[in-house]
Amino acid sequence: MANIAVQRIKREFKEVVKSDEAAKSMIHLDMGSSENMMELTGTISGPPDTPYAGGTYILDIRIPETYPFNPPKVKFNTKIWHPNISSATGAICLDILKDQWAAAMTLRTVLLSLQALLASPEPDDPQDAVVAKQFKENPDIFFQTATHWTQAYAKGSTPVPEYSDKVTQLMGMGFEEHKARVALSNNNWNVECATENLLS
Amino acid sequence: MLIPLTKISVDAIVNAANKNLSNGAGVALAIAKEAGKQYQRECDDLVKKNGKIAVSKNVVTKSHKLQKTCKHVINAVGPDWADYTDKEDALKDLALTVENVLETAVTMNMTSVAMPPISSGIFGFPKEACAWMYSKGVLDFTWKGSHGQLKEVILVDVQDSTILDMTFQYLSKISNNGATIQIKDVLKSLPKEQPLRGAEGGTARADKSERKSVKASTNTTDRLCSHTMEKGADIFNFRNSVEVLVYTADIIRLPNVDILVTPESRSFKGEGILARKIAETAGKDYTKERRKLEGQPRQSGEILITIAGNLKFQKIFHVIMSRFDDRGPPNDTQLNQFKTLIKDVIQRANDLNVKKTKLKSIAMPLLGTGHIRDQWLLTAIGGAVFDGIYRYSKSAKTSVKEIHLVNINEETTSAIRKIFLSEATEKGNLAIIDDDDESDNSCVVCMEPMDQPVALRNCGHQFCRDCILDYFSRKPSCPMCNTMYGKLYGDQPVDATANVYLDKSSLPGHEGHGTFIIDYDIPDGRQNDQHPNPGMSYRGFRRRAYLPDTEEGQTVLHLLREAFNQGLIFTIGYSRTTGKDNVLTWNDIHHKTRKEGGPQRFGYPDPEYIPRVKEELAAKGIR
Ligand SMILES: [Zn+2]
Ligand SMILES: [Zn+2]
Repeated sequence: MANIAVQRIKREFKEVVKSDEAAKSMIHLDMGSSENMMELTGTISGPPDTPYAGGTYILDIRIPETYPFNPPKVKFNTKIWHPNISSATGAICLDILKDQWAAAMTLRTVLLSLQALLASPEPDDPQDAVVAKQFKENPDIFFQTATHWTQAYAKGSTPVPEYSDKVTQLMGMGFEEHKARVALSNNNWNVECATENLLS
Repeated sequence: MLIPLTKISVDAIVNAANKNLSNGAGVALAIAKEAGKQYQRECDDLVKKNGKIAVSKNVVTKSHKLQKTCKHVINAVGPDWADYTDKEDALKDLALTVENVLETAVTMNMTSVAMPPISSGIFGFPKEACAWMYSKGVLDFTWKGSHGQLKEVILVDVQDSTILDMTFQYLSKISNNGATIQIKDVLKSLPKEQPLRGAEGGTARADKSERKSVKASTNTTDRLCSHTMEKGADIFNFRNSVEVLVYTADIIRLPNVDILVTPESRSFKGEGILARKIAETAGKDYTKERRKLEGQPRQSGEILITIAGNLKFQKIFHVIMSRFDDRGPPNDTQLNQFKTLIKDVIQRANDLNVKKTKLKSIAMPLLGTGHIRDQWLLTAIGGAVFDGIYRYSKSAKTSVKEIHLVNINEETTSAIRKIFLSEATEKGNLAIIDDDDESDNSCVVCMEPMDQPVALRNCGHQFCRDCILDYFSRKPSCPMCNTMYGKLYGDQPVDATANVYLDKSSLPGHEGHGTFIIDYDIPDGRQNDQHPNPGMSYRGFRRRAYLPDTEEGQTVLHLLREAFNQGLIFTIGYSRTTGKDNVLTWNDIHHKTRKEGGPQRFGYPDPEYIPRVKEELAAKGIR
């Protein structure tokens, strides 16, 4: 990796570790196993007063060789239900990770921006069209679904019994848990539609 | 000219606005009255959406009811004299305001602009100060590389012609002796009895960070490259140490140049066009000396030196190099070697000067290109020549001061001129800062203390010189605030094609208008050096997109064409629609790939589409 990139990542790593946010355990950064610092693991906690509250989200961060001229490649490792994050791949739609990236930004600002994105989704520029549609048309269902996913995948502690029951119901029919949850979430928790979806 | 601003005919008139574009007094009120409520609404919406306009910046709006006068209004926010304790800063900001207006006119391809004396009204600038900064803004701008289509800048005033007369007087005085206007001198020359409102104690209401950044951008002592024109040649000045002259002429007949550079192949048989011409005219002594060097193969990069015989040069440098061919783009290694070669050639002449010889000037054609007409290739080679000379200009002792890039046909000359202009604008955006000035700052690119700091021209942000040049070579925008300083080029495959047809049918929501059909075709290929995984192959595809044949649709089509030419429509990487990596995909400029179905299905009707795609294009500097 180019010298400047290594040098920056080292400094940025320290910046995150020393930050106030890290002290309050809102964000966290790990070297991971790779020695060359090309691949890092970030962690952000779900912001309070959102369906993600209480959740812990792990992020895969890949530093390109051309860093900081190009943005780091970041995606959610933890599954999440959010209009700007793909529920299938964890890919993120956030302008600063694309053409609005500026070299003045750092891993700390990226982590904080992602946390802010959890608090204020932008459904008009969606990554996941299904989630965005639900967010706009059925905000209550969206909120519950996101809460349910937080509990299921991000160690959240707020249960949504109705949804858990429906997942169990489909699992009883022989469907795999995650697939069942995705089908139900995509179909506004209508069991019939979800089943049809799974069978097609 | 003493006519109301709203009564002339130009591409744009300039509004001396305030930060909120509230247009409540003076010129602003006059314009707002004439342009109508729609205009004021557009202003209000802009401020609501993007926030207040910073001092020295401007925003462009439509002219609405002023359509007969102009197409656009450039709303420029000048400094308020009372806001500054340090009046030097006030002056700098005004000059910058004027310059930014002209810059905007260039970016928007305007040919004529009418401008009132900004900041002279309720913003309280002394008339002299205003006239001086008017002059400085215009001068600094004319001194810059690229003027685009801008041919006419009309200074107007409704009240009286005092400021205009002064400006005219200053400008004719200054531009005749080629000097620049020093703000410190202006400050001294201002009459003392001027009512300096708020001079003591001052009410520095303006945002501090903004002030600081603006200060940096004008606190300049030297530029990396600048452009002027003289006696038919384009002159590029590199760091005030080397001048490059670009013009058309028969190179071997140049009367006052010390060294002639001519390319030779490794066999060194004098086979090139220029080599043959020299052989015909240089005479016996030259031929004799040359013979001694012939008969053995040479290495690429070798420089053989002979006398010039009957020619009016002192020396001829025979440079051994292989030609570029136009079958494919030169690779980075080739270009890098070429840059080094250019630098070495000049450096060699420089080294000779250590011994008694005094060689001050070098003439060369565009080396290694032969009959190449391929624009892309010429651009790459021309850019490499620029870089080579730039590298030389960085060395400590430059005794070779003049480099003549001379070509026999105007076509090549104009290609070089174009390349140099765009390179010079890029580098001309940088200003070297006095080293002792705020040197404890660190550079955000490398996060180290700043090394040879430079400031960007428009936004004033500072970086190490090498850091920002490196950054600009990838993306010509400020690493801090993303202000664009040139064209952005994307990594769209070079063999992509686009065709546009006009169809009679209408799109939902655009009834009564025809439809543009854009067909993109990108063949299969392999990723190159610019892509994330060079060597890896990707599948090509064809895509069809639709645009309404309305005024707006035509504008977008025009912008899309520009974006396509700059390689920004497609990219290789992660696809949002399929979730796969390393695939050919759209590059954040949305297209309507269906005629119908609404936004959910990438079709029409979608009233938000046109403004949104314009924003996406603007984010990439296409506007
Ligand atoms: Zn730096
Ligand atoms: Zn900037």
